[in-house]
Amino acid sequence: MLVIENLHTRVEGKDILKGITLSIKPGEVHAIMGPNGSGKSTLAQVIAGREHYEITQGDITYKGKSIINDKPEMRARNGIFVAFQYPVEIPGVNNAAFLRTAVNAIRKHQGKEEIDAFDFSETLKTHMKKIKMNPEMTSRSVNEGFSGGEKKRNEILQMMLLDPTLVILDETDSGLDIDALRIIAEGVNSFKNSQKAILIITHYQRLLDYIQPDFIHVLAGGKILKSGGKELAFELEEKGYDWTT
Amino acid sequence: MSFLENFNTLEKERWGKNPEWIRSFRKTALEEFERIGLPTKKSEEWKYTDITEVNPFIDLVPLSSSPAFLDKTTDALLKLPSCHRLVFVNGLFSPNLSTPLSKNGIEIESLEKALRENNSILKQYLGNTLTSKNNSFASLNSAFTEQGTFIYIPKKTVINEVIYIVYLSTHTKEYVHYPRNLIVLDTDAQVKIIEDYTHTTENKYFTNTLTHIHVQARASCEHYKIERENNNALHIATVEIDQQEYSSFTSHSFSFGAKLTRNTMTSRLNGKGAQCTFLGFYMGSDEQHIDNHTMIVHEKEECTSTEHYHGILDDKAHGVFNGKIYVAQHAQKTNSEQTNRTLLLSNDARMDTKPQLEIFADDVKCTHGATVGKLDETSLYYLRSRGIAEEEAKKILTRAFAENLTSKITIEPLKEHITTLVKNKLHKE
Repeated sequence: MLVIENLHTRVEGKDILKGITLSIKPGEVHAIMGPNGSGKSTLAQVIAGREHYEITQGDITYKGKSIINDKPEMRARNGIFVAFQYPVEIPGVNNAAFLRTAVNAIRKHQGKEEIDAFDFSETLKTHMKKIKMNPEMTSRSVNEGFSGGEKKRNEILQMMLLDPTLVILDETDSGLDIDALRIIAEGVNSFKNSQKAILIITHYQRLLDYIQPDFIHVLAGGKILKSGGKELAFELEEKGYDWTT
Repeated sequence: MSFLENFNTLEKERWGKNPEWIRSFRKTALEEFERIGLPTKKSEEWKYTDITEVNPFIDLVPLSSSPAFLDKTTDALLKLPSCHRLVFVNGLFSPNLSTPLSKNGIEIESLEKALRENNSILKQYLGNTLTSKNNSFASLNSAFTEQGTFIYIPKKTVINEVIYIVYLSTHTKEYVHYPRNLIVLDTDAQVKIIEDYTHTTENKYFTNTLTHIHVQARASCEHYKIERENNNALHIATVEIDQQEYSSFTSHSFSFGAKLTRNTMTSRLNGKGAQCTFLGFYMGSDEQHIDNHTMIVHEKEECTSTEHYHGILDDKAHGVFNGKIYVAQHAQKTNSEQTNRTLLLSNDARMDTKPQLEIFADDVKCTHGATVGKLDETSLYYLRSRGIAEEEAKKILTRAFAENLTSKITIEPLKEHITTLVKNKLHKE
């Protein structure tokens, strides 16, 4: 589904990713672990299409086609979803209206009819209940004044509503207490199926206790140093990241 | 004809039967205007605003006959379910379209009628002019004072229905009008007033308007000014407010239309504990020029002023904001807050912003801030990463920026109208 080949990126004149190669198939869960500043979040943003990052070498293909020249909205419409590490607060934009606009943008692309306000509000309620999200969060501005946990829930809510094929969770576990972490993990697990792929980006092992990865990759200094099964997470937990530097 | 000849003609033909005091009031104003003349770009207050185009209009005489009633006239008015309405077409009071009120001491009337009747309150307040020195356009308006509104709300009177004043331009030739509004709220009175400047014609004209508002002790006034003239029009407005102790005044000033807009707005907090709020919202496109000059004068202690002017400029539009806050030496425990934020949607749009604080008291809390910039890239990217097209995402964020101020409108049908105006202007409809 997703193939990354020898990817090099640069931001503001600085090389961040220095030759990443990675292949993710439908039904697989991958985890990328690494210390701060290793390039983990850059990788997530480059896949999502943030224009800020310059690709100097290599390619990203998704469902067999190169996407590096696609706009972020096109990638989203084709089923790529990134849950942000720092979800953006947008004062003045109603959360429910934003969610519905996004759902309809994707439905329109799929040739489906727009969902009306009533049906949408029903769908919204169902999903919010699943992740125990306060119903009040829909009448507020997007992420404005949300706690860290509420923001992450709002990301997972978007994932469930937009129903993507490839999900990238960028440090979704950071800033969450254990209860919130479990609820979010349950949300992701119930979403998972043989057609979808998940890429978890994290610093710590704890989210991986709840969402079992098939593969783990260790990223440091813009390169993948080691790949393996889930046992690699325990090794990292024990040894720390010191050996990577 | 020159403005001087116009004045003499009007004096002879139309104003002969007016009370002596108003005739001398006009004459004094005319002399003042002759003395100061029109401002030039050399004047600090007019540095960014070129009024060359206004010049030829100074020599036009205001219309004296009522224009024909047009069916589409009423379409141009705001649909407000219940209000006291005063309509002026091409500067002239239109009794057919208006619902004045003169009852239990309340006066919601045309200025012309109040002048004819030599109303004593009108005489007391219009004579007791607030006008700042060296305001050419205010002097010119005073020299030609005849048409406009006179509103008096007696002590402890609360007017529940909105007062809606409309200046509608339908004339198909170049013309000038000098709307004059005198609004007096006696102690503990309350009222909401809308001043609307609109059009059915696309012809060029010049609006030179002046509004004086007296808010007596503990009285409360909400004032809305909606400038939605056509894109060829020239609009110069002066609004001056006198506030007494514990009075409350809120201004909502919207500028959408006109080729040139200049608002000069001043509130003097002349009583202890007065509260003043200035909210301004401007939207410019094409080559529109929108200049807001405001001044809040803290003369007495424990007064609060809050000022937010926000705007959106597209194409080659040019915005100007100059916000003066003056705190007199004895105006202790003053609380003052000011922001000016401008969103630029194009590389050719320009904003000149200047907050000006003059503080002579020592126990005060004053904050101010100005920002000029583009839409936030991160927010834009966030929306796009959810499948929303770039253009749509920009519109969403721009509307949200406008929401900040439009959400503060307390008259529901007006809020809807303004939201529609914002949307239409953004979509260039």
